[in-house]
Amino acid sequence: MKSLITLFKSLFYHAGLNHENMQGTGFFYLLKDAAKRNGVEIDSAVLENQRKYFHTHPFLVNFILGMWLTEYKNGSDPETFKKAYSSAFGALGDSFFWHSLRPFSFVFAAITGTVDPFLGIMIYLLTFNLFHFTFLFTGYSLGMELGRDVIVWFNRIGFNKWPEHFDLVSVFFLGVFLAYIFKTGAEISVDVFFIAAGYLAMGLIMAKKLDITLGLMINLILSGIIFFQLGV
Amino acid sequence: MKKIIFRVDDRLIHGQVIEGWVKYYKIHRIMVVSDRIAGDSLQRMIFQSALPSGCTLEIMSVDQFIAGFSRLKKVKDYTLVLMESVEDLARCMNLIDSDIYVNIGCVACREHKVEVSNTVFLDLNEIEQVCSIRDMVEVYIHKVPWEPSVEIRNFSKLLKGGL
Amino acid sequence: MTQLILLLAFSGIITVDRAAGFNTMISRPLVVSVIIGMIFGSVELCFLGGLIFEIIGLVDVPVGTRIARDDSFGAYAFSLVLSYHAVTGMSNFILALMLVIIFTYPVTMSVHICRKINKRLYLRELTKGDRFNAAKLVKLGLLFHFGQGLVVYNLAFVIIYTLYQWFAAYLPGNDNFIPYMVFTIIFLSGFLLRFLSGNSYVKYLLFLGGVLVGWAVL
Repeated sequence: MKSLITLFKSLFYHAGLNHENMQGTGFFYLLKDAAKRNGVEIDSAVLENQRKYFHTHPFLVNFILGMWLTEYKNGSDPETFKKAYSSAFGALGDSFFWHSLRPFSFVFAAITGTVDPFLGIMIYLLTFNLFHFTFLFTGYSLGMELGRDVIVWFNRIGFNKWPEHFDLVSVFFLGVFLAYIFKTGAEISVDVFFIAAGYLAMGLIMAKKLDITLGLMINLILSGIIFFQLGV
Repeated sequence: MKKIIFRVDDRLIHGQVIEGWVKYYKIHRIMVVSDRIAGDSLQRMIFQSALPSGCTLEIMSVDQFIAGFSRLKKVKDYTLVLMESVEDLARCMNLIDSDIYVNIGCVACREHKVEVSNTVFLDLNEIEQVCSIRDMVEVYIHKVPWEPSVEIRNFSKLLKGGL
Repeated sequence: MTQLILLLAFSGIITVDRAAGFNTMISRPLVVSVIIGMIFGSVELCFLGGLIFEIIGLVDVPVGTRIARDDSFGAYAFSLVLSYHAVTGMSNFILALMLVIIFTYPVTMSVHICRKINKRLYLRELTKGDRFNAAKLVKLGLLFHFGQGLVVYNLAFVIIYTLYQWFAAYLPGNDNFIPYMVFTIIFLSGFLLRFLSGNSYVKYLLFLGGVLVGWAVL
């Protein structure tokens, strides 16, 4: 139950995000509440310090919250580990949730969505939130249980290698999706096949040097001119 | 981009570093230069665990880094050197030359500091140290590689004005 | 009227989910587009539009303090233009897409304003000492982000739509632009393919394998 309440509250952890203390307000909000529910008395000066600068990935914050409480209860200094974990979890969280899980959820949603768009977005939401809520839910209890050694759990599951594995799966299914959307969305002929291959190659080449929106704008302008010349 | 990148970032290894610098330039070698981290085995493990596969991390104190720097100059691949504070960067001042890209990523807000950018807050002493480095090479505020960097130029004027 | 109320509420929910709370991905462009398509009855077309902005957003990771481009707004505005059956041909499609992309920049800037408001509120609350109320700041953060979506998204859409109608009057229409939408998605997939990590040889071989499977099986 405690994990469920923490999960719910941690959904609002970054609502007060600003460049002064980043998510310090959110961490203070979560910590004060979690300490109260666990019957942990935090010294007012120490608690006051918690609203200062703090920044980590929103889906992994509960690990730090649990770790902090355990270390504080044990009488050690949780601040050093809070700082180290906030950086490391920022890196791990951004790499997995933002870099890899979103494309991973996307490719499956895109394939199913081509058949039924509603089913597609359901797949997207379920795939992403399965990981999102699992980490938020287990984070607090694991942080409490393992304290400063919570990183051991991440090493045990090889979490830093997940992004690459997920990306490779995404790459395969991106291929599946593009072949499928091409078959269903365009009238297939040799010309059209080469146009599609050309567009993909152009995307790959532009991606090395250009921002995606700039690349898209150039593509739109070029395509507009070419198709206008062709009288399309 | 120059092959050796000195970055001051008080969060050391975090999202911007991995998703930004490491993946953008395909950097396989990262060095964390911090007396605080070098002496703590658990913190070393925490940072080690945050790296993507294929990356190597060396964690050392500032003195160890200075002593072994000549070895680094011979390496042809990209090397990202992360330092926790402007003070640590100033201690390495004698190593800095035009082959090194010096940037400040994030120095978080603390009391009595001047907001140089929305992520970089420096006190008077740190500003003076940056000015001294700025006399030798350009120093940039640069969050992630694909965003424009801001060259630090006007600190001397600011200092004369007493901030 | 019900459609309008749903739409306004949804625009606020998008920005909350995106920047202040939940993060359930209901704000992802693909989801936004399909929901708008469901509200207005043009799901398939909006889905294709959503794919474009989804890929734009996927390669833009919101790391650290960086504010990522507001791809949700892109999907929101583009799906609305599509839902109003305003796009009738390829030249219209190009115009609408360009206008929406241009307007994502000022909309993204509005997140900066929200963060500045949050900062002011935080500094003001700090002066209260022991009576510092984090829950209040969290609630206000949610409220301001809701307001941001409600006001900025819809205002920007109205401007886009007005400009679009004005320019579109000079453009030819009535051709099938779906294949071109597909080509645009394929073009953007090149960016996504490069963005995904992994050994280059393995990655491109896997991609080719996926294309063959997709072609042969589906």
